[in-house]
Formats: sequence, C-alpha cells, structure tokens
Amino acid sequence: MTQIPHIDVRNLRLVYKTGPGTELAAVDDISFSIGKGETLGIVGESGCGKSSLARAFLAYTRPGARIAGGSVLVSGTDILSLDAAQLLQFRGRKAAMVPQNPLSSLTPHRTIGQHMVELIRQHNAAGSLTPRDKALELLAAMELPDPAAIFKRYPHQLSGGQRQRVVIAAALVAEPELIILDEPTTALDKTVETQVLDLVSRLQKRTGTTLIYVSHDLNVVARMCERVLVMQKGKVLEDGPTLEVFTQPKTEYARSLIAAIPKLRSDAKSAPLKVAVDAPVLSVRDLDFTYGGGGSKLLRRLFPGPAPSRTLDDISLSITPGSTLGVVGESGSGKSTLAGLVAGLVDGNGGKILFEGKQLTGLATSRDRDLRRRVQMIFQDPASSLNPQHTVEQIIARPLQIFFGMSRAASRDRVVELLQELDLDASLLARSPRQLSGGQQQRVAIARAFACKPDLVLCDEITSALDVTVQAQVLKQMKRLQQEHNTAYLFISHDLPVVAEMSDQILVLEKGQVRDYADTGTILTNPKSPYTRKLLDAFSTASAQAAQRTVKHVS
Amino acid sequence: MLASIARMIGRRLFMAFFILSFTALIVFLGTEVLPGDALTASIPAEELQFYSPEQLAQMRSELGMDRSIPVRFLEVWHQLMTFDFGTTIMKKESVATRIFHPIVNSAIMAGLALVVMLALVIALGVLASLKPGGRLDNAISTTTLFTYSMPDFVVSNVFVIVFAVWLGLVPAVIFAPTNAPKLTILAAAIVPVIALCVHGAAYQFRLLRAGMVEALNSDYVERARLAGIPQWRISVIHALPSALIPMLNATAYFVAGLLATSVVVEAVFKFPGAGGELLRALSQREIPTIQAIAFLAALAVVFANLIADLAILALDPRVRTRSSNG
Amino acid sequence: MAITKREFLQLLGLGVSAFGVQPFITGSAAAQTVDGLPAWAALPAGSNPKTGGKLIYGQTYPNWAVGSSDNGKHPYYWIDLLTRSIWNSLVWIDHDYNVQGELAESWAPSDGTLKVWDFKLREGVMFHNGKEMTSEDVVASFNAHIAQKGSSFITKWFEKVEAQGKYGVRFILNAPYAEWPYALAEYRLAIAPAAAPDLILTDGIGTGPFKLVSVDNRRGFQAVRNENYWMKGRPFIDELEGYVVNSQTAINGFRSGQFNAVFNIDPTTAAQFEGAGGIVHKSKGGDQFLISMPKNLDIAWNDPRVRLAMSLSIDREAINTIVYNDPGSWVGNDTQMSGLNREFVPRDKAFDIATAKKLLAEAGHPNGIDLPPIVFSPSFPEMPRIMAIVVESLKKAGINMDIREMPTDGFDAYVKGVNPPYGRPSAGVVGPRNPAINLGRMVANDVEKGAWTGEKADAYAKLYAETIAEPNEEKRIGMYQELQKILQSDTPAIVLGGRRNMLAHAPGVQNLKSHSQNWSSRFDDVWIES
Repeated sequence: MTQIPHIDVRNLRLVYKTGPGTELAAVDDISFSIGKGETLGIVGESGCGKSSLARAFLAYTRPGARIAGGSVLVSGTDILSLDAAQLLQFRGRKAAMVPQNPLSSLTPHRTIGQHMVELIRQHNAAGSLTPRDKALELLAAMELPDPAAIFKRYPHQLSGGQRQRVVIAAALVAEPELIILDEPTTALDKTVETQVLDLVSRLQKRTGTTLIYVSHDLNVVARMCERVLVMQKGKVLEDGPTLEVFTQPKTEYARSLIAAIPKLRSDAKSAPLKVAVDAPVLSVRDLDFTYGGGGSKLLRRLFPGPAPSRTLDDISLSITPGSTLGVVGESGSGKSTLAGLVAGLVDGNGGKILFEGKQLTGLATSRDRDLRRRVQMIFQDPASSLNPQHTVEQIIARPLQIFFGMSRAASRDRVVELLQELDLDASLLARSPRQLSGGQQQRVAIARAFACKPDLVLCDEITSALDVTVQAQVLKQMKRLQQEHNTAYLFISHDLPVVAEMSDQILVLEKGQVRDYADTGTILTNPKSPYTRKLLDAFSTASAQAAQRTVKHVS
Repeated sequence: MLASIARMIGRRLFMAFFILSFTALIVFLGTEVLPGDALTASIPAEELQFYSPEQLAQMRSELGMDRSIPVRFLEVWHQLMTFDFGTTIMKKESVATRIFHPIVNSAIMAGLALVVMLALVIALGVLASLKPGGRLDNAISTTTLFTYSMPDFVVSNVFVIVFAVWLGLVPAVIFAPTNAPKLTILAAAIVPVIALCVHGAAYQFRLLRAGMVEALNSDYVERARLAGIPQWRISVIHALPSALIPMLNATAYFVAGLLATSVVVEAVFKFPGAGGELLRALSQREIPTIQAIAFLAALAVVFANLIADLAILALDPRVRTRSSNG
Repeated sequence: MAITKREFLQLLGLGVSAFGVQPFITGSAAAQTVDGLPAWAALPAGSNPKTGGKLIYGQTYPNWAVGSSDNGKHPYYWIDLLTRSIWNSLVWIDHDYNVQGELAESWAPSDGTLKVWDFKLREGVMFHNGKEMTSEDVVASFNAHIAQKGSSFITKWFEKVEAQGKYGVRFILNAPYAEWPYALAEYRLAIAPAAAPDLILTDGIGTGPFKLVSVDNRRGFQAVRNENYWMKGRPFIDELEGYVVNSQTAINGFRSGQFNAVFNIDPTTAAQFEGAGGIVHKSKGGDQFLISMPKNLDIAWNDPRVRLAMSLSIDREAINTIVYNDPGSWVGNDTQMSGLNREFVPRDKAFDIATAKKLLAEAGHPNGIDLPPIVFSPSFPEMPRIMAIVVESLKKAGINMDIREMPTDGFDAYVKGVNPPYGRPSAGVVGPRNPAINLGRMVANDVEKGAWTGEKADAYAKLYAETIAEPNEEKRIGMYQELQKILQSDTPAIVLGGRRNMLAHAPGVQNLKSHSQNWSSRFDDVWIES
C-alpha cells in the first residue's frame, strides 16, 4: 500500500492512575498505521487495553487516564494536540464511535429522536431534509421497524438490538471517515448483525470509511476485518491479515482465544429425547400476549409510551426435568416476554402455563412461596438485577433465609459453598456488585438462583454481555450445575451457537410465532422453516468467514 | 404504565391523608397532654379568681372540653380536614383570618427561598461540575461545606451585620406589617430568603454536584462527548436532569426544614410570617392556632413531596415504567 | 412565658402606691401647673428641647395579651403595654412612685368612709378625633373597663361611677379603700371617647401625645404628633414608631441605625449597646424575685429559724454587683416591698452567714442541711444567673438546695398541679407596687404565702385589714412598717430583691428614661438632638 496512512499511531502510551504516584499502562508503546478504507479488528479479552486504544482514536481518555506519550495522526494531523473547539469539529464529524453498551450510552431521559436530532443539528448533517426527516431516514436505513415510533421512544423502551442499531445510526449521522465500533454487536441478533454489518460495509464502500472493530467477538472480526490486532496487557501480540492470524496464530494466547469461539456442530446434541420419558416440569399451551393498552388518555398524552402490539401468538412448548429447551430468536421475537410470563414478571392474557401439570399464571407475587422458589430467572444484565446496596453475601443469603429459614451463620456456609461451585472466591463475600467484573456478577446471579434449589431456571441472554472466554466458562458451569441438581433450563439467546451448545431441544421464535421446534440435531441439520435456515446461514463458522474475507482482500 | 402514574399519585394522596390525620393526632395529643387545660392556661391566674365555677364550666362546654378525648379528636380532625380552623379560645376571632397573612407571607418567603435555592444550586452545580476538582469546584465546595455547618441563627446574624450594619444595603429589622402588600413582603423577604438558602443550598449543592459528577462519568455523556456535543449541552441537557433526581428528594426535606429554619430566621429579621405566629400561639396556648399552623405545615411538606415525585417522574422516563411493578 | 403573662396581668392591680391619701395632706398638689403643664412634667433644669425628629424604638418585652386578639387599637392589646403613647389615664405613677394627675386635675374622697371618691377632670382636653373629653367619656370608659375586666384590682372594689357635671366624676366603692387613686394609674385604664359597649376602646382614639397611624399588634405601630395635645408645646418629636423584637434583633436594629432606642434590654447586652454608641439608662427598680416555700409539708423549712438562716445566707449584694452592675443598691427584705417604697424596712443585716449557721445549729442542723429543689421558669433573661448565685451562696452556709429551670409552657400548671392550693416550692416574680397591694399578697396569694399559719400569720392578716381602712397616712406608714417587721420575723417567703429595667438609646435621644414600672414609660417629654 503506497497511499498515506489514514491513521498513524506512533509510540502511543496511555496510562491509568492506580494510586498516588502509581500508574498502569493500558496501552504500552504501540505503533501501527491504518490505510484509508481499511478495516481493522482489535481483539483481546477485557482489560487488554483495546477499548482505551479505541477511545484514543477520538483523542479521548476516561477520567483517571492520560496519554503519556506518542501521537495519533489522522490524515496527517495529530489529533492529540487539537484544542477543545477543534475537537468538537473532529469528533462525530471526522470520526465517530459506536459505544459498547447501547443502553447506558443513550441518555435515559432523552428520546431517540432527541438524540438523533441533536447530532444532526450539531453537525449540520440534515442536508435538504428537516432534522427530523433526516433522523427518520437514518433509523429506517438501520432497518428499524416503524422509525416514527422509535423516534418517540426512550432508550429503555427499545430492545437491545434496536438500541444497538440506534447508536450505529447516531454514529453515521455525519458520515465520518473513521468509525470505531467498540463491541458493536454484543447484544445483537445474528441476522441483524449481518444486516448491520452489511450496511456498514456498504457505507464504507461508498464513502471509503475506515473502520475499526474493537471486539471480543472473533466471528465479527473474522467476517468484517482485513487485518487483526491481537492485544494483551496493552501490547500488540499479533498484527496481520485476518486469515493468517486465525489459521496460524503465532502466540499461545491467540490460539486460546480462537479455540474458545463457540461453533455450530451438527452433532452437538442428538441425545434421545427425554420428553417421552419424564412428565414435563413445564408445559405451555397456546400462550398469547399483547403489550400495552390501559391507562387514561390524559396520562397517555403526558407520558407517551409505545403502542400496543401482539408479542406472543399461540406458543406451546414443554421441558422435561433436567433438560434444556433453547429458545432462539431476534430481538422483538417475544422470547424475553415468554420468559417473563413463565417467571411471573408480567401477567399473561391468554393460554396456559403448567408447572408439573398445575396452572402457573398470574404475577410472581401472587404465587405461593414454594412455587416462587422452584422457578428462578437469571437476566442478561446482572448489574441491574443485583441490588447495588447489598453485598454478595447478602444477595445470595437472602433466598436461603427466606425460603429455608436459615440462620445467618448457616446461610454463610451455604453461600461460600455456592460461590465455590461457581469458581468464585470467598473473598468476594463483602463486595458490592459494582466491585465485581461482569462475569463475576453473572455468576453471583447464578449462585443466587441456585441457592433456591430450583427445578426450572429461566436464562435470558445470560452470556450476551460476557467475553468469549468468560462465556465459555459460565456455560460450562451451567451445564455442571444442571447435571448435579437435575435442573431444567429454558435457555434464551439470540446466539444460535450458544443455544445449540446448551440445548437438548430448540424452539425458534420469530415475531411471536414458533417457526421451528425440534431437537437440536434436527434444527441444525434439517430445519423446517426458511427462517431457521436463514438464521443458520448467518452463523457460519468463524474460520470459514475469515477465509472468505481474507481471500477477497488478498486478491 | 400510564395507569401506574395515576396509581402512584393516588397512593401518595392516600398516604397524605394518613400523614395529615397523624399530624392532627400528634398536635391534638400534644396540646391535650400538656399540663392544665386550654382554658385555665389561657386565662391569667389572677383573672381566674373572677370567674365562678359555673362560668368556667360553661366556657369549657363552649370549647367542647367537656366531651371525651376521642370525640374531641374526631371533631378536631374533621375541622382540620375541611380547613375549618375555628376561632381563638379567648377572643373568639377566626383563626383562618388571624393566620392568613402570616401563612401567605411565609409561603412567599419559602417559595422564593425554594426558587432562589434551586436556581443557585443548579447554576453552581453545573459550574462546579464543568471541571471536577478544578479551582472553581474547590472554591464552591469548600464554601458550601463551611456554610452547611453554620447554624441558621449565626448565618442570619452574620447577614444582618454584613448587609445591614456594615454595608447598609438592607434593613436589619423588617418593619413591614403582617398585612403589607405582598410585593412589599416579597422585597422584604430577600435577605431572609438568602439566609434561608445558605444552609439548604449547601446541602443541595453537594447532592447535585455528586449527581453531576456521576452523570458526567456515565456512558451516555461519554458517547455525547465522543459525538462532538459541546460541553454546555452535555452538562445541561444530558447530565443535569439525571443529577437532579437524587437532589429533588432532599429538596422535599428542605421544604420540611424550612418550617423550622424560618422560625429562627423570621425571629432574627422580624419577618411577619407564620413562624412567629406559631411561637406566639404556643406561648399563649392558643390551641386552634397551633393546630392550624402545624396542619398547614404538614400539608406543605406532603405537597412538596408529591411535587418532587412528579418532577422525578418527568425527569426519568424509566421510573414511569418501573413504578408499574410496584 | 406563662408566668410573665400572669405576672403582667397581676400588675394590672398596681396603682395603689405607698403615699396613702395624698389629697388629705396637700389638697391637690397635682393640680399645680407651670406654663400650662403639670409640675411633674417639668423638664430637667437647663434643658433646651428641640422639636421634630422621629423616635423608632425596639421593644423586647411585648404585651403578652396581644396574642389573644387581633385588635391592636384596643389599649388592652397595645403591642407593648406603653399605652401612654396614644392614650392617657386619669392619673400616672411617676419615676419615684408618686401618683400624679394626668387627665384628672385633682381628687378627694367625699367623706371619711373612704368609699366615695370625686375626681375633677382637666378642661379643654381634646381626643384625636377632635372631640372634647368630658365626664361622659370617663364614665363610659370605666364602665367598659369593668365590663371587660380591664383591671382586677378596681373590679374588686368598684360599685359604680357617675358624672358630676361636665368635668367631674364620682366613684362609689363597696368597701373603704384609702389608696384608690393609685389603682386608676393602670396602663389599661385608658380614657377613650364614649361609644356603644361593643365599640368603645376599639378605635385607637385617645387623648395622648401621638395619634395612631397604623398598628400591627403582632409587630409594631406608627404614630404622629398630636398637635392638639393637652400639654402645651408637647410632644417634641414628630413621629413615634415601636416594634416588638427579640434581644438579638434589637441589637441588630440598633447597630444598623433603624432603632434609636430599645426598651427592656437584657442586662448582659448593655455593653453591646454601649459599644454601638448607645447610652444605657437603668431604672431604680423592676420586678422582684420571690422564693415561695410551702409549709404544709414535712420540710425542714417549716422551722422559721431555717427560713431565716436561708435568707441570711444569700449574698444579695453579689446579685446587684454581678447581674446588674449596681453595687450598694437596696436588696430584698423578704417582703414584696421594693426599695423604692418609702415605707421599705430593710433587714437589720441582710447577709450574715455566721448567724445563719448558728440558727441552723439551733434548729438541729449543725452539719448543714439538704432542702427540696425549687423550680422556676425564667420570666427575665437574667433570672437563671440570679438563681445560680443564690444556690452558690446557700451552699457556702451548708444549705444544699437545687434551683431548677423549667420550660415556660405549662409551668404554672406544673407548680399548682400538686399540693393545692400552695403548689410546689417555686421561684417567681413580683411587680413593683404600692404597699397596699404589695403587703396584701401575703394575705391573698396562696403560692407566695405558702401555707403560712400560726400566731404571726393571724396577727399579720388582722393588722393588714386595719391598715387598708386607716384614713390617716402617717398612721398607715407606721402600720405598713409594722407589717414588714412581722414578715421578717417569721420569713414566710424569701424575696431576693429587684431587677433594674434598662433601656438603651442613641446619644441624640434626650430625656428618655427607663421606668421601674415599665408600662408607665412616656414619650411626651422626650426630644431628639439632631
């Protein structure tokens, strides 16, 4: 490549203050360059410095961090030396960031429309359109259903996938030359991810945008990037064409990373169905659910919310004790609503939910104590499902005290035991959830669920926010717990490989309707519905993707 | 979700009903268990010898003191709940008429204090958070820590000495009569209001600053910053509404505290408000007046809490959803 | 401030002073005038009064009756008892406790029964509304005072009042009362224009030196000079304003120049006023502090030797020196009489620890004695300091007696709630009055008397009844002194001595004096040097 590099990172050193007078290098003397229009993936486990590096491309460091040396040249200009006014012209306009966590990255009290219009105004990006129309156009381009409705909603009223598309739309407002995507598809459905990435690719082709993917999702990197940087502890371990790195990793670390990627295997689980053997622990018959409705007109006007829509339509399923039913579908498919209905978080309005043959309807608060104990739920975001004011011990001990009337001392022993089962150290007992890593938080949530000795655990996207290696660990632990306690799982995820790895049977949901429902082997090899086939196509293996992409690049 | 807001308000009003009833009970018991009855406490000891036992009995009966305590409580409760504050014990003058101007004057002072305090706190909070740990932030934070720890009467007297005695900008003693035109009261209230704000503002500022620092460290502020949104918009549009929420709960407490503080501040500045009236009524054992003022104060606190809750609801759309789950 | 309020209402009864039936001796000294002014209104020699200016005063001692009414134009509910700004009474008690004619020019009993009293009114006195004051107005005013229970002391003797021509009134009493004119000096007994019973006294119209402009009886008043005031050439100042404030606010207002005078300052703040350029004026007297000791219970002080020992142990001179900065002044003589009463008989030796210890030993307490606690509620800010001095000096004589401060609210009921009608051992205040009232308390006031019985008590009661009906002043004075000696010999109560009322004023304010009877303060002789 003879052209001037679009981005030239020279001896960049970025440090965090860890205490008085002590600093830790998050980015340690890194140099590399990126050509215009190139796509670069930066991979590594959390804490390797990849996100700090990503922010440096926008001349930004988080409080407590500072650039200790080196430079970042973008089109020949050292952006680290821009003043505040120049930075306003640079950020969002020349370079944009798609943030990692779309829910917390959108201002909670601002509607999607307000977010979009603010950016469009700031960057004079409306062109001949009104800012509102421009915003609707961008939202529509992200293939969000009913952009006008999305425009009016608040971030928390969207699904994870919708939010991810919104933040990407926001980054695209000024059609910047450089887009940094920080864990861009973590919470995204596979099919949507494909669409989004395709969209970004098209934009890149049209405008020559340089893309940097910062991700732990090697699938994405393999699919999208010509070049990969593998980082560990602030250093670049490997830097090379994607295929080369993926097929012939030079370092042990890169090898372990690649090995941890869940892959679709058609032989995953073809064990004989337990359905016929045992009476189902949970069976659902003709379940319907419609959101919204109710409330006075005045209040509706004062506090606008989403319009009613049918979320679940005639769902039937069953799970036998100790087995796993995987539910896979895109965001908005109704899979979380299904879990919410079984858990009693929302009140159903049609059909039957039977637990061991007995009717299980109404809110959890109206169910008897034993039933509440026996059906547990684990959520996607442990940070918000764990009380931040309580310690780990209090969180796990609470169900022990409530359901089993354990004393403090007795419950403490049991808490330590549960922590050990999940490979957590007893030293975490006194910590608050905020002081834990995401993986540790989720394992605490799992420990809390198992403290109840449940017969059925509802898992709603429980590994979506985790690094691949941590995800693999958690899945392994979940399987072990299932075997030890003969617990049934309703395992919900948008990630087909993960579902396939965990489940005896899979139910495929789309727009509230069942598309496929069979044992895992059948789904993977011989799906009935075209939708399932499309889903399978989107999840081809990482190596195949990488090979395909790299070949194109080399030619 | 929408019905839940109505339910929240309904719940609040229901709670308010109990709080106010409880207030009525406390005031009633307080005035009931104090030694002596309202009548002998109101008639100077030397005068008592001029009333015959029959006359005293008749007056007691007119005051309802010959009936049982529960019956009288129900009467008091019913009167308060219907805003019928009755008449003073000795002169049979309407309590409502008596306390109207002091209550309005106090409401003006408290309202002005609230507005000034919020404006001051928000301005300072935003300024300080522009550069946490900066010189401005340190200056404001140190000052507020200092003023927060100063008792109200010290603050008030310092204000008098500085503004009235040294600078001669304002009067040290407010001469305006209780029934002065409300614009006069408003003008007279300025220095007392500042004195009232000093303490409250310090605490509220600290809460707002903490909220601002937290909001400014959030992911959404980082996103806005990385998207090229200018600092002032980030502070005011993105961070401030979230930062206000923890402060608003304390603001409701500030309103409750205003009652206690204003008794002190009113006395120092000689402001014609309800605090002084309450003290006078207490020293005279004018029970209907005490009951009326205490009840109205409780009502103001309940109302302030409701407003704060509605403001939080308006500021954070997530609470609207959350409240639907209880 | 229940005690204070009661105490002030008791003071309504004041007006019976120590001078007996002055008209018998002098005819009517009060009638003498100099340049159209009563003699008592003459200015100090060498005065050169200026006309004009404005007096704005702060008042730390409000009229506690105010709270029960919204009508601040009614003299009973005047903001601070200083009703002589707007109104006049028939007579006035001067700074030396002499009764002086105000709207009355002269007075005399019509016969030797001392039950019928005639008053000659000043002629040509105009009300603020332009109407001349006549006997009709005085009769209507007194009938209203009786109907509205304005003063318990006149009520007790009053039979009726009638006009005697345009400028004369006659009071007919139900019993002989040799000191009747003193009772009429009461601040509440203002003369107002005749009107219907429900309207009279309610419009703020009087004959006084200032005309009321506006009053907020909870806060203050504004008044302007009465150009037709009956005292020629008076008042000197154009405008008078007064505001009820607390002690700290008073200093603030004085420092900022808003007040050029403050009435009833706390003695401890005197230096602050002086530091701000103020001049502090102290009256010779004020309320006295009395310790009552119920003697119907089994307490060591039932022995009069113990009571006398207590009295002799108290270092009252220390109170004068430390609290009032007034060493060498009179001290309490264990009667309600004040050092200003000319009948006052001081104890032979007020402070004598040796004798006290001897008395205690005689009474069987050679090693000291423990006495039950005394309770009090501070009516005046210096009261706790005084009680601390008392406790300390008693301790030096081996008498251990706690004196406890109690909250004002409900205090009266607390004291009277047990041991009726004498109540708990307590400390209270006694107003400065004339002997007929002062010495009558040990007959009529159950708490102060504290179940005082026995030969001496009986003799005292008998002698008091004879004294009040005695027409001869000389004889009366001797009888008053005899009464005090009976009290001192048996010490039924301990009276520590009196406070000094204090006011502070700016240097330009002239001839403004603190009155021992705070409510008898007047403004018609005050002027302001520019």
